[in-house]
Amino acid sequence: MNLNLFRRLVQTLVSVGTNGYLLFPFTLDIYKGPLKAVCHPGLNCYACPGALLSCPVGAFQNFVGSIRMSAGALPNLGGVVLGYLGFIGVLVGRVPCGWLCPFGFIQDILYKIPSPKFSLWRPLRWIKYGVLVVLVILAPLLIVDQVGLGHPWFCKLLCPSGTLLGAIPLLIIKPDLAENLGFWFWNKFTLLMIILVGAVLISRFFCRLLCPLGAFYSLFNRISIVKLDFVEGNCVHCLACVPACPTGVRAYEERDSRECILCLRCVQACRFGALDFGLRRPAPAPRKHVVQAAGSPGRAGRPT
Amino acid sequence: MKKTSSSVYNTRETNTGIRIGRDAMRNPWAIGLIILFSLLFLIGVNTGELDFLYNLGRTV
Repeated sequence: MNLNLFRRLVQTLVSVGTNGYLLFPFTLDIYKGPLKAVCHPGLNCYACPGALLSCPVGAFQNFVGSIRMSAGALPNLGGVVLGYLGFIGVLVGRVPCGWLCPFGFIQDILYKIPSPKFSLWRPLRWIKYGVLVVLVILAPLLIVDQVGLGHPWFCKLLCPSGTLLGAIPLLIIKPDLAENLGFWFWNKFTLLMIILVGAVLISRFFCRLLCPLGAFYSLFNRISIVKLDFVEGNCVHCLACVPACPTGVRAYEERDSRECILCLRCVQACRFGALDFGLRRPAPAPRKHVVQAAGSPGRAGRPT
Repeated sequence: MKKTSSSVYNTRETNTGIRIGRDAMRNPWAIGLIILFSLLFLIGVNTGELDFLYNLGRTV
């Protein structure tokens, strides 16, 4: 089967399957069952009426936000979420971004809309690490209300998944909620529009620029057990892998890039078998240098 | 055609299950972090964080 088609199938099944609570049009409420104790590996708002799983970023912010409210009791530090995401990250790096994230899937679809396409200025990719540190960790920890409770600032200020998959569907099934709309909603709605337009023009715009979950997973791309293999001897520098990459990675010269979401489009684009998907192997042992006897021709001092 | 050292190294001829397991075990950072994150997860489970998560999902 075509690799890209297989990835689309996986993305569709995961996005639909994890948002498969079909009773919400009848109950007019979100799913509240036991699966909400499990986090989605991608960015998927837990306020989406159909969402069966929790959002890892939202859950982690709520854990961090509750630390200062614990008042002497053992605080919930978010070990469940951190351990879960870290385990996935070490095992497969950013595979969830390329294969499992519903919002990533939406951006992949949007980028197919015919329009002029642009590339992202590379230094901007560092912004997502700022979002992770400031909005997901520091702000919920430091900005607390009178009872010591921090708020999920990423969800309140920025998260486009929350607006697209959570707020708007809820407004559709419960129009009465429109009376409560205020600054927070319109701010996020404006940002959602900017991000959606950005995703049409720039591949994986939100993932590369702002996504704190992608930033977290990317920390493990250089040690993850699964990685993109590059066989230098097979590469003919045809550059077919460059336009194929949705995150602008030059696979032939960037090893273990933090931007690589392991979507394997470059593997499919390479006709010479220079790229493959495999396990990280230990570095080869240093080879012995043999110094040839004086007078013998060539190769003296070269590695054998 | 003679293969370069890197292509010889990356061939899949020896990629058996034993080899895969052995290679994974030679990635000490990854193994250490997997153990650390597993412990974090288990500590979280044992301190009632799953209930916190469950209640959070119900009250959003």
